[in-house]
Amino acid sequence: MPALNFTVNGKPVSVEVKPNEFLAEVLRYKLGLTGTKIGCNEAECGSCTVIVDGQPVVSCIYPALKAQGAQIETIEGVAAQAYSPNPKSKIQNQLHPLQENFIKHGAVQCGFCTPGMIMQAKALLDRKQGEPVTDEEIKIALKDTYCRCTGYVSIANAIKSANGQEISLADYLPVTKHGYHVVGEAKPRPDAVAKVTGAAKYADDVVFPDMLFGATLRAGVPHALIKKIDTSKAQALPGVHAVLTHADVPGRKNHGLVTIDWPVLCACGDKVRYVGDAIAIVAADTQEIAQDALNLIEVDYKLLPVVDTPEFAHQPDAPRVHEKGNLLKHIKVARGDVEQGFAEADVVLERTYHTASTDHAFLEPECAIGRLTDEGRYEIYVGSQIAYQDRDQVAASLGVPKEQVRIVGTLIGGGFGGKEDIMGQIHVALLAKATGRPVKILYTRHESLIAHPKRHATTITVKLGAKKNGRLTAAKAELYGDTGAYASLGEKVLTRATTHANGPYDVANAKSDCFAMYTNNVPAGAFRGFGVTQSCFAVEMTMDELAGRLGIDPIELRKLNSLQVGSTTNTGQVLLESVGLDECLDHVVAAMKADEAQRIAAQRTAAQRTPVPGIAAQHTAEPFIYGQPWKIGHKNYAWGLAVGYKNTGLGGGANDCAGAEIEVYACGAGTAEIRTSSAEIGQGLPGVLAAVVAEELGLPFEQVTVLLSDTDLTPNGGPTTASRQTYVSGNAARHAAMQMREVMSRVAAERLDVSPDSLKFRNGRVEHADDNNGHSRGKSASFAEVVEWMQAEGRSTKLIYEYTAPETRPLGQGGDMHVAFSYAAHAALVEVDTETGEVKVLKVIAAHDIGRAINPLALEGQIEGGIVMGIGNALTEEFPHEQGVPWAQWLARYKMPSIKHMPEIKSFIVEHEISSGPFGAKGVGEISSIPITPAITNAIANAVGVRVRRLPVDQDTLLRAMKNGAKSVD
Amino acid sequence: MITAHPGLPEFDYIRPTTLEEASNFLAQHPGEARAFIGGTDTFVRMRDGAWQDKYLVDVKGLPGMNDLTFIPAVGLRVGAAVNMNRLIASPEVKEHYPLLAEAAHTVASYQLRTRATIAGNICNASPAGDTIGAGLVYDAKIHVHGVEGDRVEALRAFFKGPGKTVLKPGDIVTAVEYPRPPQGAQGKYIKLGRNAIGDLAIVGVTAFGYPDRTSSGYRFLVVLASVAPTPLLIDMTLLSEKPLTPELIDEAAHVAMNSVKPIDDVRGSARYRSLMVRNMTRNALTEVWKKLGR
Ligand SMILES: Cc1cc2nc3c(=O)[nH]c(=O)nc-3n(C[C@H](O)[C@H](O)[C@H](O)COP(=O)(O)OP(=O)(O)OC[C@H]3O[C@@H](n4cnc5c(N)ncnc54)[C@H](O)[C@@H]3O)c2cc1C
Ligand code: FES
Ligand code: FES
Repeated sequence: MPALNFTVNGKPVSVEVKPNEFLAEVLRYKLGLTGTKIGCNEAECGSCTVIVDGQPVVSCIYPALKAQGAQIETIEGVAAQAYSPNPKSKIQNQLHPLQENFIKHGAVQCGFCTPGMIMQAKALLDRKQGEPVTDEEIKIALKDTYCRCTGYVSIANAIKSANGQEISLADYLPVTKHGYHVVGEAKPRPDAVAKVTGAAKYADDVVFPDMLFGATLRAGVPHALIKKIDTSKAQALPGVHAVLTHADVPGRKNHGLVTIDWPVLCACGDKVRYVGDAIAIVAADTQEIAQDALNLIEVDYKLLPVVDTPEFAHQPDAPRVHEKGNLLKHIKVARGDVEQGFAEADVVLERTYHTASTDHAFLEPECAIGRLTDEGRYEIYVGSQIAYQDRDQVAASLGVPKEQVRIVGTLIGGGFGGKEDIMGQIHVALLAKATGRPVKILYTRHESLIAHPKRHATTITVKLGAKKNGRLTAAKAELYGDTGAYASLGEKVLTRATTHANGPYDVANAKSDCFAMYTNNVPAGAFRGFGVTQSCFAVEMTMDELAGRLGIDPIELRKLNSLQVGSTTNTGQVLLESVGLDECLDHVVAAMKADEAQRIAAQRTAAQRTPVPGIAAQHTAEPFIYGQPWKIGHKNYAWGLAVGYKNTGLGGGANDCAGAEIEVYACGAGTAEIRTSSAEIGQGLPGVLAAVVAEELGLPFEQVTVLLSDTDLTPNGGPTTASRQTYVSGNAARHAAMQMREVMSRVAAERLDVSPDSLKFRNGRVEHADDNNGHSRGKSASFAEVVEWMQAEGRSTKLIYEYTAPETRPLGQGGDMHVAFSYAAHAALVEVDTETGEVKVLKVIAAHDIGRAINPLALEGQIEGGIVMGIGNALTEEFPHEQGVPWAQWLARYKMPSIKHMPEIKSFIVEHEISSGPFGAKGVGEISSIPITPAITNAIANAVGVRVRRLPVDQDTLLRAMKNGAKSVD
Repeated sequence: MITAHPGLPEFDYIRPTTLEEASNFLAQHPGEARAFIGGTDTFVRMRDGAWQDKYLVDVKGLPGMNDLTFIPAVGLRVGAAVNMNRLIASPEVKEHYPLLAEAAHTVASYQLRTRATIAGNICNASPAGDTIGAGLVYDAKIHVHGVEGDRVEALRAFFKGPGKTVLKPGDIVTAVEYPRPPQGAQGKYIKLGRNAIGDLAIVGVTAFGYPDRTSSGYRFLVVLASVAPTPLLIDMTLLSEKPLTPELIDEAAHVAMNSVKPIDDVRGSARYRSLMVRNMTRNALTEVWKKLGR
């Protein structure tokens, strides 16, 4: 092997490399510099960006040998000194300004894009040499460096601030309540330093000595009978240690989160139901040998007719995807009598909508490592959203007791619902068992795209009836959901789509029916928004149109019908508190008006200076009327608006519980650690948990650490889904901390000889504070001292709290189906090019009722990220299938929003606290990406008079409709 | 049926030190060896298994390949290894060949342009190649070193089809030369992308005009990318025959539209593409006319 001699982060390095190795791989796997990430290996995502001789390059397609003699800078070399995991080191002071500002501005969420982003930004600032950097320059530099979490706003702010163009958080963080010490304050994420320095470990960054590499043979055909699987040639290939098929699965042959219908490996004589079905798995010395082995496996198929749409699947004579038939579930919601309601209506409107299948496109492809410990237990390292369920599923298929399996959660480079199902977890366990060695399976982007569950494509028909005065009398919806080849969370997702399909409105007569259908498409499962994204689009588009029919302002129409405290939902739940929908709407409308007034004033001034025929006249009208468009050249502009709601927590009668363990330590000034198996998928859970605990124990935020996702070390936090973790695990952590405080109070009270009730926990101390002003009377101890006293007395310094959310009722039984709902109103300003049909979102105004902001910085990150994801859902993202074969088999064929799509975002927080939530908090993770889509499509309708009822908006068909004078794209 | 990901083939990385050595090696391994410079096309195609070459010959470091020279009397010579960012930043390019800089700026992203080259863009012979239009209107010449020595090919006769050029095994492009543009020439490049699905261009229009002794006082050229098997050069004679008016430009845009027969695919309908050819051609020509000081 040729030697590569080069300089990495100032140090000369010599390493043997193969001619077909790329710089990213050499850095990661040969030099252990795993800060450089690989998101696609296609030169598309930018995660692998490093600086070579002063210039940023994508290292995944940079042949390593090309770097002969070069100077390489990676993320590990950006801080003044290498990062030390010791939290007490002075690392913070040695960070590069970019790193500091990425942390400070919340530009780090899952962190997977962060190294590439920082390298890209560093190259930009190095080029600028201290000159001010413009927004345009930032957009050009970061154009193809994707972030799926942040929405880019915070990244752009961080870059400017690092360049001395300071942007203060106060300038853009929404106003939120204060009143606690830690809760409600903007805090950087606890894991941010590790993420900006490249020290953070994701699954593929973990290596074991003697580790083998696994690979999975995928069916490649959407529907077929397997006639033969011959692995003999693959077995014989030198370097191959195991080739496993169906027969080698000792335990349960299928997996699944609700319905256990997904084969771990498809059996000969049985069927494949989608292109990504796993046929065989291989473990070999290297990834290349494993790939070669796959090519030697012979499989014969008898092709079967493909079921390509849910409507077709529902036909009585359609081929059956599963023996039991193609209907996964018929979901029904009913309140009152809809037929009666429509009879009472003055206006009835029925419309049909289509939403596309979309991919999560988390930047970190799936990766899992399995190994057997000396005691014969299975250890699985994986970035999973549901650690305990992974454990149970691995144990079931391996045929061992649950206790024999440990899931060790690594960091997750984005999930958005796409990492809830089993992907490689069982496979690596099987291979580890067969070979006795650790085995890693890392998916290529291609494999990730064709294998993991997507967002459900749906066809939704909405029918609304209203009185002349605008009061809704009936709302009906019929949904067809494409759940693909396997159930995944299809039933749950489509249930949520169905229950939310009548909108956040109080309608006496409501009915929705949903048919969740199996097809031969890639399975569909959880995806941020969980079905509500789809139904919100359908309802909110219809609402605007209905308002037009009624001659009522669409905002008025919404207010006339919106859910309030005291309203009943379509599932029969009476809302007793925390319904901030109207207030959200008020904020958005006021901001929209203000923005309009500003624009008109500016245009008037401009028109006075250089009159443009037509424009001045157009804008002498009264300031703001929702829906009124304006034109500049061949571009039309208009605002559009939509509202939405989304449940927090599992609900529907599920036992929604989470455990949290707390342990206190005497080291330093005293610290606490909070542990739960809940997953951090970038949303900022550790910050929430740390804040809640710090608040209850009166500790500085920095003195609380968080340990997540380890089935041996952390209690079950349940799935990280349904925007539930802030609420459920937040409550568990809070109660654990409160109990610990009680224990500590008793000990301290005895030592200080005061009553436990008189003790206050604050500033890292336990103080006797019984005078009227709450001042300390001098008797106090440090947090650490109290812990020492506990230890001296032989008391346990840790405890576990099991929190169970208030009971909910299953769908169809009335009563409370959910513990809480979050609400939002979004407005979008769009520009439609009447020559090309192109649509741009220029501004978004958003207001969210999330109960209580625990960490405004993380919250804003969730909001901006959700909004930009929603823009993708509306305008750019689609995962089309043709006869079961996905078109987007490479990232180059899946367009997610880049920094060029980033709009100006103005965000408002409404805090209608929910009494059962931790400090009143509800969830935000999903609602932020929900109303934005119909806000955009409503804006398009306002701008050019075409209602686009099919997602994503297609410039081609939109233009055609405009030219033909058509009123809609169906 | 889709195949499992084929993965990256084994290949050897060859770094010759002279052009002769490189040409000979390439000629001795026809169909197995490929020259590359930036590698931004090459290694993506290798990675997705579309290309399976056994030898990848890095010609970037060869003598003269890195030169970027402008000689007022002759023109601009862009060594094959000059990356696009360097080209864009060059004051001479900005001043005398702004259209080339403009087109190069639309290629990929900054971090790819630190490696991507004009020569690679041309040799790749993609119907969508963004810098090819500028080369065609400037009437660029391609300097080639082959086993039989040096020769020069006209860019206007360089393409044989998608991915196909006149180059033979052993041929290495050493430089692209752009003659001095006619006095007062102006250009515009418009690339229309697609909002949804993939990032590939729907159409790219290069418009170029300069004062000339014609009835209109000008001569115009248009190149259409992404709508024909190779970038298509259209001589807009009709814009020389009569005094320019917006209507005449519309007519010219129509001619452009009728000169291509785009296809329907997932990225757009043929109808839409045709319409966009017309609209973008009209816009680009109007812009050039404006710059010419109408
Ligand atoms: C993510 C991404 C985005 C892209 N976006 C764009 C875009 O927007 N617009 C666009 O036009 N292109 C785009 N490309 C394609 C590519 O970047 C450009 O075509 C680039 O100019 C190629 O230059 P290179 O030096 O990297 O070519 P290379 O990969 O080195 O070579 C390309 C081809 O030319 C041949 N070749 C190269 N040099 C020579 C030589 N000296 N003699 C003979 N043959 C040679 C090679 O054999 C190969 O067939 C994109 C590519 C990627 C990966
Ligand atoms: S991993 Fe290199 S660009 Fe995605
Ligand atoms: S933080 Fe950017 S991708 Fe997650």
